[in-house]
Amino acid sequence: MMRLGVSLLLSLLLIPAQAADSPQLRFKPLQGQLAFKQTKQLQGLPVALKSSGYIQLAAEQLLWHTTTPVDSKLQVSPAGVSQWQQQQYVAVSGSEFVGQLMLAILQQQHQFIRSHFALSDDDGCQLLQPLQAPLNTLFVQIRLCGDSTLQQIVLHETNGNSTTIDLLHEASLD
Amino acid sequence: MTKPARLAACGWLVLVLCLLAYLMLQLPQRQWSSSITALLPAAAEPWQQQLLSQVNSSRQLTLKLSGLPLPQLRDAATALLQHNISGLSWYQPGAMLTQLQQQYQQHQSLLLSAQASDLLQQGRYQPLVDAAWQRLYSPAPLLSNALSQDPLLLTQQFMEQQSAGSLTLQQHWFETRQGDAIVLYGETAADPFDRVPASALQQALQQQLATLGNQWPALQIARSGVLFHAVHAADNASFEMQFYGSMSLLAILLLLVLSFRSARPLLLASLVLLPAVIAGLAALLLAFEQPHVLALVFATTLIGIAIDYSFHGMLAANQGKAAFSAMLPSLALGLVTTLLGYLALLWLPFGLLQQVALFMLAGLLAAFISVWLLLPLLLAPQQLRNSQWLQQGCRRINQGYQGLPAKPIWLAGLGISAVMLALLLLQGRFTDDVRLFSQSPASLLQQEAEVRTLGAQQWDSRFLVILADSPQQALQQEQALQAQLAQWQQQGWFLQWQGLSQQLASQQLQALHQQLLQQAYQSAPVQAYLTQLQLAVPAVRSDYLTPANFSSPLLKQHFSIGRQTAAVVLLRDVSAADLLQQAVAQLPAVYLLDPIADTNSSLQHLRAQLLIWLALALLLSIVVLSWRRGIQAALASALLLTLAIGAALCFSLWRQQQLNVFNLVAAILVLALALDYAVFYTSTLRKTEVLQAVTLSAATSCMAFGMLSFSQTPAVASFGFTVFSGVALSALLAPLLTLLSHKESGSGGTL
Repeated sequence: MMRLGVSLLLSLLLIPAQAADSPQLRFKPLQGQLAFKQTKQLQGLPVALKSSGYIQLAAEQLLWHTTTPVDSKLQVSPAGVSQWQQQQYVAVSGSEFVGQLMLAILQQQHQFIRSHFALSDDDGCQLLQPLQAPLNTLFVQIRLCGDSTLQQIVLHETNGNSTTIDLLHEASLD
Repeated sequence: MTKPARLAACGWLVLVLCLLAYLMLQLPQRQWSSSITALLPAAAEPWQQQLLSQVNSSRQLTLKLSGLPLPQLRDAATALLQHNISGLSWYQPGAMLTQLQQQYQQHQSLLLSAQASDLLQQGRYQPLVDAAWQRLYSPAPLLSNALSQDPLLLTQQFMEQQSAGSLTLQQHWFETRQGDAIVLYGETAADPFDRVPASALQQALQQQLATLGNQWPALQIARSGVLFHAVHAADNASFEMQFYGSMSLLAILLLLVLSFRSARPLLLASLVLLPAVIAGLAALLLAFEQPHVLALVFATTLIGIAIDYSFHGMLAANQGKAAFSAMLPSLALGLVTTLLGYLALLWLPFGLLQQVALFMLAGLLAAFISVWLLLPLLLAPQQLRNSQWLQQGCRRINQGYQGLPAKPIWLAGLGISAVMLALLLLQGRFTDDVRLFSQSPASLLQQEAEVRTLGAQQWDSRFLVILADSPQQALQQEQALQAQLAQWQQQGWFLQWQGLSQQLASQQLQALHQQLLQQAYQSAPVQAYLTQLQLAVPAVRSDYLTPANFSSPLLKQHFSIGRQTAAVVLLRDVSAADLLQQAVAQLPAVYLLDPIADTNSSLQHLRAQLLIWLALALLLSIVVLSWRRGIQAALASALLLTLAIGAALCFSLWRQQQLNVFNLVAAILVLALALDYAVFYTSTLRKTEVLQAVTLSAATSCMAFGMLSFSQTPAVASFGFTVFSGVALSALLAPLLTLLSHKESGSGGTL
């Protein structure tokens, strides 16, 4: 009983200490298909750009299918982003980091995130601040929100643009 | 010994000491080249030579790390990059990409893809608007101020359409798309053919790679780059030079001990050999800023020839002044004919042969002067105890030769010569391949091939060149060629191409883009797009991106050639070089350069020249010999030379399956040596002494050249084997010349 008490006490002391040093990723990795709604705020554009569609997640790959207001497909893998153009996927040059980032966030890849970002908690959400180039030349920070499941991603770009992606887990998808 | 003779000898020694002092001053600060290309005959066109001297990818190196899971490979790569290796810088692909993006960001709407440009020119704006909407709704980041400067996002899309390549770009390296290997690109500060710094750099890198291997035993490392091959070639040449040189010296020592059983001949031979080597090296350093190590490998043969003079000199001086004076004209005649052989090489447009020839000319001349001035001074008559058994052996051999029937032998010789010449004419095939110059170890070639399969940055040795009057015109012409390049690529003539125009449009094209965009902004589809986004029409830009304010590794593909600019288009995996050559021939100011084929063609030309020189040298020898020895002896000597050279080439053909230019160089040397023997055997000198001297010198030459035939460098091995067989045969056949009467008996043996 005494041993159990000491263990509990140690656990209580250690858990906050660990959390204060380096917060852990707390979302479950996403799999399968889910809907999304995206709102993009671009510098110099008075109106926000809203779109929606669905995401299909596999082990090392995701399909980002925007269905409204335009039909557009992006295939994302650690090798980069490819866009569906004229009946084939065409690689988007220089998109390797973005591809890796999207996969890492949605699949909660601890190793990639911890090696490229400083993690902190903010008002129930997690903040990811890029540590090194080229991610820190693209993003100021990335905000991940949700309970145990990731529900919202906000990408704050260095040029002042921001993209909010709401993930709808319960949506019925075709 | 007379006073003038003593003074001359002292003067000669002083001169040799001066040359030695020059060598001691120069050798530590001189660089020895191991570059193969530096040796080769120059390409035909001067602008091509100038371009080839500037196109230099030899400083690049590639490492492929594999055999571990990707996270561990990344750790290994990070560990390697953390240790700074002096003189080696690693490419930072991520930083290069960021820099490129920043440049495009500052010049948005000036650079468009070819497809976008076509659509604008055709007035088909709707596809451009659709693509812009698609890009706007993508979650991927946009360039700063993209919408205000380039509302159709055409520069953004141009940037994203740049060839992604077969490798995934990371900040400090590339990764394969399968994630099973990491590829690191580096560049050396020093020329890989500059032996000392290149060797130090390679050792430092090797040490780092060994440390990685200890930390991750399963890590596999494949290397690619001229550095590794150049350092191996230089080390190999250096080793062979020292090894074969030492073995030749050892063989000579052994022969001296066996012949004379005294240390004195060794001292005397050294007094001939050392001035020869000193004079040869000094001439080489005086004439060539950066002599080649391979020249020294060939030049080790000087020891073999110079000792020939020592033997003749020592044996003659040992018999007394009269015998020495009688020997000297024959030695001089031998020297003159040998010098003529090497002079022939000196006039050929071939750096390596010129260096070898100069070394040998100076060395042989010094050897002759040493024999002439020093040996009578340092060797009193009968001071040497000539080996009795060797003398008796030579006497018996000589008697044996004398007993042979002259006529049938010479008839047989004629017959055999005819058969050999016919065989060479009918079966003799030549290979003119530059790869004979060096042979990298199989493991290094395998690693090179392994890295090449990864693709990126592994360009073919053939490339296209566009000649233009200015840098802007070069960009325009390259741009105009793009459609043709794409078509050739589609036809499978090559897998990929790379040129500056893929990253940078000419100023003229950028101005045209601005004009076309302004027209597009006034069109209905683009107006609707701009209205929906509430964007204003951007102003016309004239802050063009030019080679002067653009930074990219591809800028290194444009060169200044005099007043012209040469734009190089690199090609990968060329599979239809002939078709490409034909197609390029139809285009103005576009050329397909193939340095290896050009070099092989130069070698072929050189071979033809050597054959002519060989025939001329043979003819000249007959003329000189008929003047000194009479027509019969000259013709007999010519038959000996033909037999020796023909047989040496036949043996080489049998051994190598194909002959090469180095067999012909060797044939010229065989001619010089065999002529030397012929000179002595057709003289009035005592044949026993001649036989002894020729046998000893031929034995040492056979040792020196025969060992070269074991060289790892095919060129050196070919050379060594041909000389070995030619000299051995000459020494065996030359005593038959004594069966002939000669004119010199009446002229007293003077030159």
